[in-house]
Amino acid sequence: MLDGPRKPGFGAALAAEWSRSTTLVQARLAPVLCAVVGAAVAALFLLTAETTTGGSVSAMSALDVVTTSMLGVDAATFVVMVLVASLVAAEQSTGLDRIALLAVPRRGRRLAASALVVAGGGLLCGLAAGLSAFGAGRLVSVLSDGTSLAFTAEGVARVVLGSVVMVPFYGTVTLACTTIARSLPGGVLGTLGLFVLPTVLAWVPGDSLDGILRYLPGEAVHAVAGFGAGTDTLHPVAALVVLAAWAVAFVGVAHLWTRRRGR
Amino acid sequence: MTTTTPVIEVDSLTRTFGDTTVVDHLDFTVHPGRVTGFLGANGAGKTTTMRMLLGLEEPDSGHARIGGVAYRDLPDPLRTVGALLDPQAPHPGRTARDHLRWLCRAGRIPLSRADHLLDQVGLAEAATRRVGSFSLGMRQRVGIAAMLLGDPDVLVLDEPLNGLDPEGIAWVRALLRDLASQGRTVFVSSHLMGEMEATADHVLVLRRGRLIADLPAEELSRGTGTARVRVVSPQVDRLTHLVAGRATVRPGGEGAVEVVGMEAPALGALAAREGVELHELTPLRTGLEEAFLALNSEEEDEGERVDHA
Repeated sequence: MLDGPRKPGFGAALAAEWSRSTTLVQARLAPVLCAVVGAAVAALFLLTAETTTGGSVSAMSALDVVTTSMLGVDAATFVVMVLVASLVAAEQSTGLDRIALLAVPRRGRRLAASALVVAGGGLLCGLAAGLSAFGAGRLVSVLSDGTSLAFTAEGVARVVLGSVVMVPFYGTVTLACTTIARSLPGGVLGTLGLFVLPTVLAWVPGDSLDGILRYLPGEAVHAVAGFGAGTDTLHPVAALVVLAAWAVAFVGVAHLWTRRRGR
Repeated sequence: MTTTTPVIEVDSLTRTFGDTTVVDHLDFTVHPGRVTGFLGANGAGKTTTMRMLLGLEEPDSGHARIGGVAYRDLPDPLRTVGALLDPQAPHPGRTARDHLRWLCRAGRIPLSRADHLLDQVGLAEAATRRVGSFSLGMRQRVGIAAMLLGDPDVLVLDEPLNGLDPEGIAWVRALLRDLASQGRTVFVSSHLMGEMEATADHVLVLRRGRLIADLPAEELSRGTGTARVRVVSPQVDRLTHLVAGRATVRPGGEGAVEVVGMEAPALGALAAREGVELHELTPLRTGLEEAFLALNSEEEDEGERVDHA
């Protein structure tokens, strides 16, 4: 008979999920990959700004340079989406998800632990991408006109850290979508659907959807980061609550779906 | 007669997928201290039953309990039940040790158990190798190590002999016998009747989701089909004449004949009484595979009779 503590609870489920994720080389390298992709995409957009927007980096305000750099975080978000979807789909196809359910038979507990691990890992990836994208923007700015962007300048930290939020958020949504769809394409496409939803709804003529748009994840991320603040933009804290509610809703639907399906 | 309290109890378990009833009002119990084989052809419903037992599938109706509790309500599942389901389950990119360690964390089991078990299953040298580089037999051993992590009293194995070489089969067989001898409940599904014959003490035979036999393995081998006895005698013609009407005699190879329809003691007594010289008298045991096929055939005939009625 084994000695030691018994009755594993949520803490044990969380430790197991973290251990399972971080023992794979893909997951361990994800922050590095996100940092590289974030910096590369930020540099690419800034260096081609004159061609694509008609204005050079030297003509941009410091905040515009940082805001453009944060497109690197968008790219890192796609990296995390694909990574999360591939890991979840692989577990489902090999049967490892069944082993995980044997270890933590409470489906809700296991899914909640997975979601927290994805959110935590996503935050690390987002920070790596955000800071490297900011660094790339700063380097391009210095090389363009010698202006050095300061992280402590007004609004800069909020833009960088606010943008970072989208990585754990969309990572968690990808977990839920892949759990439901049971495939990598299904998980990624479902998340991308939510990603582009504000853009699609913005095409609807008239202002009937204006009240809804700000509660969509894309707009909420913008509100947290302080992009294009207007009178109807949510307060950053309220926007964070909206994002958390979306994430919980997606994970909740995935839980109900798996319970109904039996796996 | 079974005197122990059943550990696994399945009560009117039913599961359908679309129009197909895969498990049909299944009732059985599994007792500790012996290896219980869960036999059936592919598609008979063994895996679905095991998945429902382990809380991985929801039954449409009925219950499956371990120690009186549904699997998902077990307070300490890994220390209560060990399961071996799919050798391909461990992620190919994870090392054998890491695979066992995350399970240890899930069950609050000391991490040292991972290395202990890898040593026990003969994979100590391969502990830091990625599972993707393992052979099927090695993966099966990783699965068995995972099954034993929590030192559970109940063991559920789904087709553990699939794809194993003869050495691997012998190793698994010895392990299961050893675990049962320690008083644990060992419940093993297989479609390899010949292999289970040497492993199981008791068998449950499933056909199209229904239980068609629940009896000691020996009884299944012995009790199904017609008695056969191998006889070597210089007076075969006399023997044939003596048993006429009660049994038939057919060539048995290597100078022997096979008497079909009489048990060995009765045949021996008859030969002794009539002064027929016998050089060999060997009861021929029906193999589990043969018994299984006979049982299936009987059920098939029964089903057809009911259909025609």
